[in-house]
Amino acid sequence: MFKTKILAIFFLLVFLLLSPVLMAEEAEYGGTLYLSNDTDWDTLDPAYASGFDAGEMAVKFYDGLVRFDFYSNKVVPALAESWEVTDNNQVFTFHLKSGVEFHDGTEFTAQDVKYTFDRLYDPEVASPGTWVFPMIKGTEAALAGESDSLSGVQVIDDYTVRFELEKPFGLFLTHLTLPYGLIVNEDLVDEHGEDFSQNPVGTGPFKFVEWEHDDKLIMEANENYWAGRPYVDRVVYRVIPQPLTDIAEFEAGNLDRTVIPNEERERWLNDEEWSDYITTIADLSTYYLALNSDFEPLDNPKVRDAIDYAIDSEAITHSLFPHYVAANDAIPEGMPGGTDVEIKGNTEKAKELLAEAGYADGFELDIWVSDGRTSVRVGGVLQALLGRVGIKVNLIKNDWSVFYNTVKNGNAPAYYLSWWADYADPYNFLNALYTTDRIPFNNEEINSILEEMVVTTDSNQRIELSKEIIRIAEEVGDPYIYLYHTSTSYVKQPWIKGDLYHQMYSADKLLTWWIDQDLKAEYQE
Amino acid sequence: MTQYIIRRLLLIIPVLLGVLFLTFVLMYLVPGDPVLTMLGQHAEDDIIQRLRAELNLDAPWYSQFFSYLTRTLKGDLGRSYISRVEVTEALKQKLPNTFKLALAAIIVSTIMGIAIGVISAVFKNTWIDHLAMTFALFFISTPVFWFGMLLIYFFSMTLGWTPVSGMGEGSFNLKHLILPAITLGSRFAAFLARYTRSIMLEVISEDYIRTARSKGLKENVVILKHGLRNAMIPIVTVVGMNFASLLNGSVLTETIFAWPGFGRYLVTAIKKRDFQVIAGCVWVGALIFVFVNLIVDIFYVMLDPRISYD
Amino acid sequence: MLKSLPKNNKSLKHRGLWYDTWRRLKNNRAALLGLIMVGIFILVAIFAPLLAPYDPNEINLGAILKEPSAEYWLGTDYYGRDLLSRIIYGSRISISVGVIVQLVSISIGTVMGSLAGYYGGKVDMLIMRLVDIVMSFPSLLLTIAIMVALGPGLYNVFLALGAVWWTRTARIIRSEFMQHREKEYVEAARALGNNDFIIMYKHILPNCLAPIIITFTMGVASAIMAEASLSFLGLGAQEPTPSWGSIINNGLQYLRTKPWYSLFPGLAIAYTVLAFNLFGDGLRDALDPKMKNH
Repeated sequence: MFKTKILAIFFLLVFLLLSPVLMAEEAEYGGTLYLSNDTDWDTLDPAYASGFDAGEMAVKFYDGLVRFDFYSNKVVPALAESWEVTDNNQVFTFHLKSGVEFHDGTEFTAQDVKYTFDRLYDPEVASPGTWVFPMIKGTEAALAGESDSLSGVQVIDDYTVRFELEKPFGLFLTHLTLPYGLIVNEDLVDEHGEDFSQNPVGTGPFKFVEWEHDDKLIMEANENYWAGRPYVDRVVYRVIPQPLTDIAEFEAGNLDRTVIPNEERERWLNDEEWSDYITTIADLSTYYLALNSDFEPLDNPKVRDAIDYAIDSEAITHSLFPHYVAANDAIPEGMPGGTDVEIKGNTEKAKELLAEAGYADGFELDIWVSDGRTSVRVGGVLQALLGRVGIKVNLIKNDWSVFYNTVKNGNAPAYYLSWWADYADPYNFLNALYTTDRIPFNNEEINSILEEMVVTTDSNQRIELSKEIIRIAEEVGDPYIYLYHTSTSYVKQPWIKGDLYHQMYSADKLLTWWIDQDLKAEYQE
Repeated sequence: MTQYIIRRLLLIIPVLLGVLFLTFVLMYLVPGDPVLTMLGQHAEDDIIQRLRAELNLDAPWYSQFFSYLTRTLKGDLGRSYISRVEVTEALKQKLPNTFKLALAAIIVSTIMGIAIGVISAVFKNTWIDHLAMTFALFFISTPVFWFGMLLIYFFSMTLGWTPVSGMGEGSFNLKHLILPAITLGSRFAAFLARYTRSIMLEVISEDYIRTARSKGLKENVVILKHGLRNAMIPIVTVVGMNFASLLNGSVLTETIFAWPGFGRYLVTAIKKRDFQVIAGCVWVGALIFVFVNLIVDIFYVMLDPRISYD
Repeated sequence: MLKSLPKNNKSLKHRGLWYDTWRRLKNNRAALLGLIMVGIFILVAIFAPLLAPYDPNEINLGAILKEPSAEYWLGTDYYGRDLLSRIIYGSRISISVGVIVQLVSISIGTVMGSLAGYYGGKVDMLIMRLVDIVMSFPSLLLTIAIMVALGPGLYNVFLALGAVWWTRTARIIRSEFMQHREKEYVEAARALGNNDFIIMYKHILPNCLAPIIITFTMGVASAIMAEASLSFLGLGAQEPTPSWGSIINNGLQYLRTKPWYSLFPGLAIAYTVLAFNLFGDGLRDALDPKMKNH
């Protein structure tokens, strides 16, 4: 019920976002767009783009076969003009656009597609993206070094390429939207060698100009872009790690759009002058506390339940992050497949359950957190809440690599972590959470439903299956306490038009943005 | 003299080898695994293993140290684990920015420090002297990062007089330099004011000043012409010696002002546990420190014939 | 050849040293002010539980980021903890950082410096090269590198700063020992058959007390400042320890909306460091007028 309402609001939002475009003013060409990011992008080589920041930037320089629609989570053609799916969802034949050029003038052909995927599975390359396309035939052999090329990616002619899959995979097209699927050219990769990651040359809407790590990255419009050149001439991205500095730069007129820091959201949202220029979107994220049943007494479902009751996600969200949404299950707001399971929050009930489980006097629990500011803060609150029911929490805080190494090897009794969508499908969340080495959770029923989800392309069925998994997890004593889903508020300068807000980091290619020069001049007087 | 320089240079060699070894040991001891940071949540185990092998992270410590040693001595600081940029290349970009900032800081603080020190000395034990010295001590006692923060709050955010962060467009932008230079230079200016005052007091009490005075020269002339000139050698030395240690302050100042220099490069690398970069920065920082101090020492010997080093 | 018994000589000199010092200190108004400020700081640290209106670590989700008011004099932090209480308890962190870091670094420095100065030759050569190596690093850079290796945390701050700062003491003690080792009273002690250990630590060391005390007092201020810097970089004391540096670090996010959050802990640092500097300056002048400006 609650979820459906949210969903309706979400669609309304999408429509509202669309509407300015539908009744658009005449877009203007020219000008420089000033944007910012809180960290460096580290690499722009699609094969290494494991972070959102790198992926978000890589799509400006590269194109994939397909991409997300700018205004929805639908997959639409990009370098592939059209495709056929045959043989029970196991063979995808893509017809490529002809006459597309890389930034240096090299023509784009089917060979580049093949090379991109061969490279991804080249053991020498050691790409972190090998998890994305294991369903393509020949990936295992390639990774084992037995073959230089994927048998499942075949060049039919210059403009046709065929992918063969081991087994049907319903989300194959969606996986192709990930930055790892952005097409690179062999000669260009070889030419730049180790420095390829800092000299992106793709077919994308922007050409690379300059990148000073941790300071700024500059790009200019690709005049020959196959889908028509971007409106803006140039984009300057600055790296500004302190959110406070970033928003101050925005106020000084040095940035065209930015994220409002959480600390200041209240103030901005209530500011009449700015309210027309603020857009809030629900992120596809889920933050949770995981309980590892290899550690006593977490193997007792009653104890896990008690912890669930002790941690009132609603209260945490409300007091720490008033603009986030409290989480009741794994599926974020605005994404189909969620349920209306109730958020538990009852200290008395938690104590009762603990007593029933034989831990009336509580016990000690190690909760692992990474050393990010938010993690530490949430960790502190979890410690306080669990303390109220007699569970003495030791917060174990480490830098990301130590933290993640421990969690990954199943050595953390409890940990606070999050999952951010690679694409908007519940499978991405449920698979990541319920089939993992980090905790010994292994439920036959859930596994088989997940298998079913892999295959099916029917979105209604996917939603039903998703709800089923959440229900089963709830029944058997969910190893996860879901805490909250984040949201982000952006503010833009009045002269910025055609600005885009998409839940997927890889969707925006800055093709719709334009600058109202007259308005800008007026404001800057 | 030449002998002294040669001996100092030779002495540096074992010290630098020691510095190199210490840097290596520290980075070797760092817990955690850069590979996990590089690859993100999805990466599969065999990829992780492969990358560890490729980066030579599984080799025994002595073999790692040996390759590190030969590499570093050849001037190759390796590539960042995370961005895969050569550390040497990155430093070539970052160090000039830090140098710019340090130079501005040293200019600001030298002028301020000497001026206040001289005034204090001239007005010894009056309220002007007390006020100046109290302020100086207060600045020495104020954390750099906190002071910088207050400057941003008042001058950039509240009054809007100065830019908030960064270096601005173009290669030199004075407006962007003001606050960071003041922040970085404030403690040193205070220190220099105190130092100048005490040196001046010593000099003023010496005979030739008394002679100059007795000749009927004006007090100001005496102090500026004779006093300050004689106080200059020790003051210049202190300024030189502190130039290198501004590297310390740059770590904090650049973090606050998003100044794309050496210090911020290091802090970012620490956050990402990018050992290669941390090791490179610490090593280069030590190199600069050692050589700047050496040059200052040599100048000092050349300037002041009374000092002999044997 | 014996002029007088070494023991008498020493204690006599001692009484004189302390008496003179106090006499000089008494006449230095700035130093007295510093002493009073240090005294207040130490009293606050000792009586923190009585002075603090709230438990410094008590999370109160109902009172997050409250402005200064009658209820919370300095406001609350982003956990709803009372900032005044945290700053009061933070004095305990600061005093322990200051004192422990100095104890660690002065102990190492004294042992190393005395060995080098007393024995000279190869021992001296080795120790001084080690000192040179450590001093080749800009100190904050080396501290940062050690903190990265050890991992963040208050105990590691003690170790890291101790490991970097011992060199100053070592140099001072070495030169003192070099002056003293040829003195008559040392030769007398040696003639009486005392072993090196006794000579070094019972006879020579007491004569080096003045520089040690000065280094200690001034070092406390530097250590407090360094811990704050490390905490600001996220490498110092960890939650929920109420370290001033980390309070500032957290408060920085709210600089525009809640400037008081980071203002007060900064003032606390400035106050404490100022106190120790004022007192240390005066003490230096009083203990050893020659040492002024090194």
